[in-house]
Amino acid sequence: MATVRYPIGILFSATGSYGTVGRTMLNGALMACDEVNRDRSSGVELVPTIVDPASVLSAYAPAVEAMLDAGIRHVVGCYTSSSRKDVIPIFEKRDALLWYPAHYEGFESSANVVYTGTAPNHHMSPLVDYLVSRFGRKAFCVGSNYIWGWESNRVLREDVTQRGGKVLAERYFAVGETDFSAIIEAIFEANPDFVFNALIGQSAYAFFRQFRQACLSRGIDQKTRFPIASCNLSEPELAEIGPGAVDGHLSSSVYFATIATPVNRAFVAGYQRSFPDGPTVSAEAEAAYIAVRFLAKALRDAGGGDLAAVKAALAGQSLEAPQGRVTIDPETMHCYLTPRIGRSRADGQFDILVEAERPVRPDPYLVHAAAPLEVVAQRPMLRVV
Amino acid sequence: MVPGRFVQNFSHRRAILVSNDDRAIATLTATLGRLGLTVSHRPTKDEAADLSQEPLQAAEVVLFVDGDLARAPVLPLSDGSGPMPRVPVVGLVGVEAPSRLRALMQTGATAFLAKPVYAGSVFSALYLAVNEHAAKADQLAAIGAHETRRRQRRFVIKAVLKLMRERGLDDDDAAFAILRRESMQARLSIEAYCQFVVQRSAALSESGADGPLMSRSAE
Repeated sequence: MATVRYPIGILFSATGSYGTVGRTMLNGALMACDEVNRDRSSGVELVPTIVDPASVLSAYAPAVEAMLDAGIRHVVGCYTSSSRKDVIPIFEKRDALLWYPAHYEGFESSANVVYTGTAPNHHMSPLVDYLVSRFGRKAFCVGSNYIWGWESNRVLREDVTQRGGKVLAERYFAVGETDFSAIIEAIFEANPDFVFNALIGQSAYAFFRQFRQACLSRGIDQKTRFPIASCNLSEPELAEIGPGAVDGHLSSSVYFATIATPVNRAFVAGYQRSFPDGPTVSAEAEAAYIAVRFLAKALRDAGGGDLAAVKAALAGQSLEAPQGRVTIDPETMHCYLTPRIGRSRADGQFDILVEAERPVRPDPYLVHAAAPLEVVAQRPMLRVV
Repeated sequence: MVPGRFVQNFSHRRAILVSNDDRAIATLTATLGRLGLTVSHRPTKDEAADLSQEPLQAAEVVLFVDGDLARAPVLPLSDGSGPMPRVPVVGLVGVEAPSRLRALMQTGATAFLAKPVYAGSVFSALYLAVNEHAAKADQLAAIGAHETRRRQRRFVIKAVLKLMRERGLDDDDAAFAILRRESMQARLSIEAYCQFVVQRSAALSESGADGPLMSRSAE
């Protein structure tokens, strides 16, 4: 079978405030490229052009423009929603395809994006189920001050409120903020059943460390009394938190490195072989890996890089990914994924506590999950006449 | 007044597209489908599309009306005061001329969506149209209620005077306080209750009977 070469773009921030996650995504994408290129039967050779926007939002759009100018039609990239929102108009205007491998807050389905990360229904509902049944219904929310934090907290608030619970407070911090002393005092004062964390990068690591320390100095067992739950906590980030504060955190994700299947064991072993200096394998790495595998499959089936043909070839495609079977939903170009809840261990890995029986259909607009009307706290039943 | 809750999930609603623009219809059909709506299409020719006799309900249907149509469609109006369509309308703006925009406003559009339709704007337009329509309906209902109360003012005066006369009160504030308390017990506005008191009294004096004050539920 003749092999066709395709230039592709890889756009992850391997440095800067969320560089750790960016590097695992880069590694996942490169690993898939390598596998595709070594597999002679794939019929496809991917030639990656790698750009590092260094966690600087304004660097993404020029990078994409340059890639498209160089004749690239497919770019695997972006971690934050703000960077994705920044570059989508370019992909739409110039009719190229962004392969976006990160969990995000939903409410989007651009015709020029394939989403291989989780939609909100994948990570939020299972997490709230778990938290409410194990810890209680009073939540304290902290988040980075951008769309991921706002929307994650909104979805959590609706879900908790519908189950008769309450969000005691929501606090937001600039991306990169690392002083949480005031908010930690506020958490003790509010006395929630759990803390929901939508902070990203360095802010999240600092918060985990400072909160654990503050609990220790008060003689409180943070893991059981004020567990922290996140939808964006993966193994490389546990390493960044550092020893002493790394264990006992809850994470809702579709992938953990400890998934005990032959496919995943081979994936983790291959990753560690390729990137012995880390960062360790993560959900984001797996999503980037899936994105490139799907890209190669669609290029081969479409017999070329033409966008309409690639999208047509991609619709309904499945592959056996490290997390299990992953299928592209033709309607939304998001993926059927398998939700799981993990609890971090001192060795920087997760114990899997809960796992969905089968892959769950993506619902980026929460069409099937959310109440038709926004949920508000219960009001007294008074009627003014 | 308790502020209305915003609608945020439009699944299980029906979208009716009143347009002849194939591109707009194609984009809207795909995008609205992703948002969980079922989509039907109403092509028109020279005459206006007439939907006035159809049983459309605000909680079930959203209309997308093309501003480039030769004639604006005829829509069922809401029962309350003011000319307002019974269902939310999104105006599809092609030619951006004042006459076309005005026609869409007069049709009752509470959101605009520029053509060619960009899929990324549909959710915002839908959100605005449905919630603005509901807010407008609430406002019109509130204005209607205030108008009714304004017309009932004379019954309040009559009821206060009647009570002062019947019970020998020389304080109109005391008479009003009694009426206010009784109206709350009856779960009626003071104006509606006073109208009831006055008209009941008139009816009783006509029939020559006399009886205790009856309260009734507002529902």
